[in-house]
Amino acid sequence: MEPVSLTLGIVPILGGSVKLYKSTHSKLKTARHFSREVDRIRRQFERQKYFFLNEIRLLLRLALDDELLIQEMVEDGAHEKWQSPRLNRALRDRLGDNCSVLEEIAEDVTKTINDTEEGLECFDRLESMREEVGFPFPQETRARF
Amino acid sequence: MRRARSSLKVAFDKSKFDQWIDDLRSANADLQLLREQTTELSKPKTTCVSIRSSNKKRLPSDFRSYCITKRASRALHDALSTAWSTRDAAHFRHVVRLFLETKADEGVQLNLAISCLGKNVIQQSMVRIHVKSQVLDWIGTESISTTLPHQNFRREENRVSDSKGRRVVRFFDDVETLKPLDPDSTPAGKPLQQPTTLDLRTSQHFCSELKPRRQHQHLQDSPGTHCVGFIDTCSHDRFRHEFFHCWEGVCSPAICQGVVCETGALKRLDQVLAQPRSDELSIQHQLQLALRIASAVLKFSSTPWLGEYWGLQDLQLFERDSDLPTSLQTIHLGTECTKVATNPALMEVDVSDTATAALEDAKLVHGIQNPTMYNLGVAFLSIGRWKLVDPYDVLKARRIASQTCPLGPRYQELTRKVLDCDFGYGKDLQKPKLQEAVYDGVLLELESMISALSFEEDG
Repeated sequence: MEPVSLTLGIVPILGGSVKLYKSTHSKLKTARHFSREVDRIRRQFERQKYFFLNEIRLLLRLALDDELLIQEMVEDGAHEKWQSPRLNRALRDRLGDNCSVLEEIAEDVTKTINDTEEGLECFDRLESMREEVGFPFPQETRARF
Repeated sequence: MRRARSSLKVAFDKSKFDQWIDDLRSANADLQLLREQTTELSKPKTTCVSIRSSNKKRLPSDFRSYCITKRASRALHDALSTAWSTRDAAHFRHVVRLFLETKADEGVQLNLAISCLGKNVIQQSMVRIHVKSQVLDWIGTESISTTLPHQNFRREENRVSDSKGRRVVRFFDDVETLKPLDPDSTPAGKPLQQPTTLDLRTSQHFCSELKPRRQHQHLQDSPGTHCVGFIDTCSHDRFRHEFFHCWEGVCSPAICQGVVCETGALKRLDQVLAQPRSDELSIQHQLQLALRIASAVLKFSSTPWLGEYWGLQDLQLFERDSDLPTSLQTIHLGTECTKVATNPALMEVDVSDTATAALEDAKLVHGIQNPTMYNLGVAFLSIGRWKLVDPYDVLKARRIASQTCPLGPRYQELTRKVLDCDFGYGKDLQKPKLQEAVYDGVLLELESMISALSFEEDG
């Protein structure tokens, strides 16, 4: 299978990772009520999300001078600037040969978060059941793992 | 509820989640490292600045060696041409190749490959010789040593030590203030009574003397330390040129190789540049080639070795299969040293008046400040792109000079300055001020670029 980087470019891949980190974090936030264990995982995941977003901000500084724009992009993975070919070229130029390494890291991140999200699917079912019942699970009836 | 709990027990595996978190953590660590390294690499390199400033300090002594080398090479050409204009030698053609690599410590060491071609002989092997040229002292010519500085003949030891205090080294500025020969001292034109040297002009045709002989082995010293003979010159500068056989450790290793005797291995530099750039040639090699040629221009311009309208076709090398970097160390200037004319007045005329006028017109039309430097700039353009650039198409050459160069912006700017002879000291390369500016702005700049690259590689 052709790597995603060949078709997209490094900046859109990074934008995709930002989006994915955020959506998965939301799911974990929803699922944390089911167990202390899920809450622990949520906290660790959240930490990694912030570290990742900080790194992305610093990376974008290599190719962008507009700090406000960088902040907007990091806050919104669907920001249109993530699709900018010009920004993509600028970052590629700055990274040189390291660009392929960054692409690989970003692809690893995407895959890991996709796995995490799949692992959380079981809570979707539980959540729909909770909605069926119409009330939140009391503390003592939370799922034990 | 019970149904929900049982299904969760099957589906949720916390160890997997821990593993994914670990993976994300390590990805973040990698990201941080990558970003920090990229930032660090894009900072200006402070080490290069220090390399450059240390180079600057070397200006005076190094630069003076260029001036003395120019004078010595001019005098040597004169000596050889005169020696080979005798009736006996006139039956032969003499092609002399002067290697760009020279040394200047005690006197100037010039490395030559000489071919002597008889009328009936189509091809004859070359003789590798190095010549030590020293300014002839008016106090007495006998004091000049016949050995190399680092290897003493015992019988000459006292003379050498006596001479050290009295030897006068003169630089560019005092060319015209050289004192006349003392009438009581040995005239430079007469043979000197030294046990190991021979005035080559007393020999009928001295090329045979230059060939390495087995008899030399009876001496305690290697052939490289044995002076074959000498020629004195007193036309412009008074020099004694002592001839030694090429010997490992004395000459440059690249010149000492066997390949430097084979006519078949000869190749012109413009032919080399017309071929696609081979992978074995690094940016450093390209810069070193540019440096070698630039230093040759400083050393040999306005001497018979390098004319004003020189080009890459005047530079030749001995090609070694699959080793272009080493081959490039054998670059030399070739010339035929024979004075056929008998009237000395005629020999002074190199270019006819009409040709000179045409060249002068061309300089004015195209605004070429200094043809020698312009040709060096064209050579830089060719080396930078590894593609021949036609020096006669001035417009195209200037257009190429304005485009991005694969060797970087520093090289591009340097090439532009050389093309326009833009160093702030006029256009006359005979002027020491301009020579010094070229040395500083071109040679030291190239050296600093090469040092910066080797630093990066070492790091």
